Amino acid sequence: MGTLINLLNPNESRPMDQPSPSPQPTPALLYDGRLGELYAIFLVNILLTILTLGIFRFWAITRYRRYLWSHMRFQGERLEYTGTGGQLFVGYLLGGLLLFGAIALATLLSWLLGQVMPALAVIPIILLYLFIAVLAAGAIFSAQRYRLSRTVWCGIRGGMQGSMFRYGIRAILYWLATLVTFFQLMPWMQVRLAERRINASSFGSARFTCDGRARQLYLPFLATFLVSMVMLVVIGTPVGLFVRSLMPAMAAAGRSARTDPGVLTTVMQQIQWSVIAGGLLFFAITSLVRCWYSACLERHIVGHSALASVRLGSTLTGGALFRLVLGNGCILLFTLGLGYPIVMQRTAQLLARTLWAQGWLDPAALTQSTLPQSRFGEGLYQQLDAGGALF
Amino acid sequence: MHDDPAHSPERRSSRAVAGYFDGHIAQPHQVTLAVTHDTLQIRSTDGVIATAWPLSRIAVAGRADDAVSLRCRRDVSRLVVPAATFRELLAPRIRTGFGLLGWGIAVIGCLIVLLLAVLLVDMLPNLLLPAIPAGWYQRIGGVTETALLAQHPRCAGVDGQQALDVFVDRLTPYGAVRPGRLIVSDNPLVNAFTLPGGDVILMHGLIASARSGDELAGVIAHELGHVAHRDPDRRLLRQLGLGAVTAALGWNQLGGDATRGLVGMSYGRAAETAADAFAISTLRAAGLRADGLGMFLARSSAEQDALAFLSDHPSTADRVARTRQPATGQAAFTEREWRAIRDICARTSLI
Repeated sequence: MGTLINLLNPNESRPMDQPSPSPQPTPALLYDGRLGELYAIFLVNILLTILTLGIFRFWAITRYRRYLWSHMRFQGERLEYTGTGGQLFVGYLLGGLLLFGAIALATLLSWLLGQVMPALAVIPIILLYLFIAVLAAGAIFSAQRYRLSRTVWCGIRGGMQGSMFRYGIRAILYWLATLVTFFQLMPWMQVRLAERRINASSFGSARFTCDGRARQLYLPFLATFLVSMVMLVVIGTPVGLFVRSLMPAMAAAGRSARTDPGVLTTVMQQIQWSVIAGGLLFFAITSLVRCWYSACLERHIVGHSALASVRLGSTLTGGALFRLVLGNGCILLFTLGLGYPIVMQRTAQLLARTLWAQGWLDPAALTQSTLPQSRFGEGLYQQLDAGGALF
Repeated sequence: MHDDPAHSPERRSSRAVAGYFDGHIAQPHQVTLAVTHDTLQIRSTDGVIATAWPLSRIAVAGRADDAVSLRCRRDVSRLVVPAATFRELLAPRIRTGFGLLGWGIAVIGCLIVLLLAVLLVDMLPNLLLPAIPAGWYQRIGGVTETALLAQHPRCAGVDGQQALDVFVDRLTPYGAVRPGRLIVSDNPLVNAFTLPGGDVILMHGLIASARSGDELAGVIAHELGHVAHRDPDRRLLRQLGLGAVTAALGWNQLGGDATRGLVGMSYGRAAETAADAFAISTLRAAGLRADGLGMFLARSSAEQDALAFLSDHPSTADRVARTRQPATGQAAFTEREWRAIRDICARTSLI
């Protein structure tokens, strides 16, 4: 425990309040969690989650976060997660109430307007979908706010300013622009939104800053996009031709279904399986290139970010990300979920291995955050089925 | 670390050095600790920090191999104590576990959740069943019926339909409830079922595969058991309750569907067994042959074509054993009636 050990052992030579001796980048986070301890937490969590029919999962997530946070060290001092399961649970209930209320209100308004003029009935429903889309996009913002405000380092907590609604509206508009341009604005949207989240964040008196250049990501994106399009044609064409070749057989089977219903089922199954197999192949090949692009994006955004005077950087590679994603998927699949602690351990280790910092955050200059803490957990985020995300 | 271990034996206190983060600035203060009978005194050498934490409000905020981080109430200030100091000085004096109250609340919480789930899935359907007007069940059953009959039209042979209706009338004095409608659909599948609201659908494949009128009579009597017990209505309410439970618990679609399937199946088995028993006792009470259902099941379990009728039903071997009956009693249909039923789909109508 860098600073503190120096403090507790005053004889040690390096004074605590001096900047890091080397201006070279060093790992930003040191992770020393142990798989065995994660398993001890996991087993209790599983048991209680089953006994409570799933309600315990909010406390389960909290227990994992406590452990992971407390085994991450920044400048030698451990992080601490101060969120509670109760906050997550209440947030989840409030999120559900908000969604339920919005749906009920829209249904009522739709019915009322329908009485006046049938064509108007659709307006509240469209508004409802827009509202939910904005909430879903904004939920990422508020979830990050909650996690930051519940992260403590050296008695100082993080915070985030700004409105989740404003962020959500902006995200939806960016999405529309991306769709209109047939995805060509994707890197621009991703960089601008990440930038917005990072620039809104702070830790105590230290601000996070990010200044990305989406243009530099366009070529990697275009390559990924073109590979995906080519694969769509290469895999989609044979599948489409195969399905088309079965059409006469299907029509014939439909006519003779009276005598033999089995034939129709067989043809339907052949169509289903060819579409599923084609989809899986497409997904497998394109996820390889998408991992490569995601790593580029991550390196770019983190590499253009800083916490006060500490420059951040990432050495995440596409290969490492692909190994992580594929490995985690296989572990979860083949252990039927019992490998979850291994997944957490691998993810935390990769994060610690690839996140770098250059510079020194001066503890003597870092004062407490003045931003309000979010009172409830990331309920909406969980409601809108992004649940279970730990980091 | 211990400054003066033998300082005052009656206070069991000793002094130690620790790091204190005051929650205003990240820079730690070097402090000395002293434990009195109910507080932890924290003082920095420069005199800037002088505070006392009640021992009863101290909790462990974080734990590593070499040090323990402590907090007081919900305050953000932190005291980082070397692990050895914590073990000797503080661990015996502060609460570190979950506590009896915490465990009590957790156990009661689990029980309440389980109880509510059982209430919603098991008891509520039975309570609500008579409270909801019959029209509601019929409307929901009607949706399925319309969809089914859109694919395969309704068979409209007048004599066949009449024979089926006469058969049902023979059973009504013995506990059978007349179904809303008894419909034969021109569907090649070997299946029959009862919809919410009490309409019974017989698929023509079932009639075609039955070797005798008594086999068909057994299957119809089985469905009349579901009508009398209102199994489809109850099943509908139970599935709605389960849907509400799994949605409220935030389960995903897959988990919700799987649970619905499993619960539906376990209740389904009991309902099928009861419907089998109903079929046999009602047929016998009406003086009809009651061995048809058993024969149909025994034959179907050997053949492939009746799998659809059996798929959501209990183990066929058990059912065959339970439904085996002596070949005594009247035939359910005359030769003429049975021929009319077999020809019922010669005419079809779209309604």
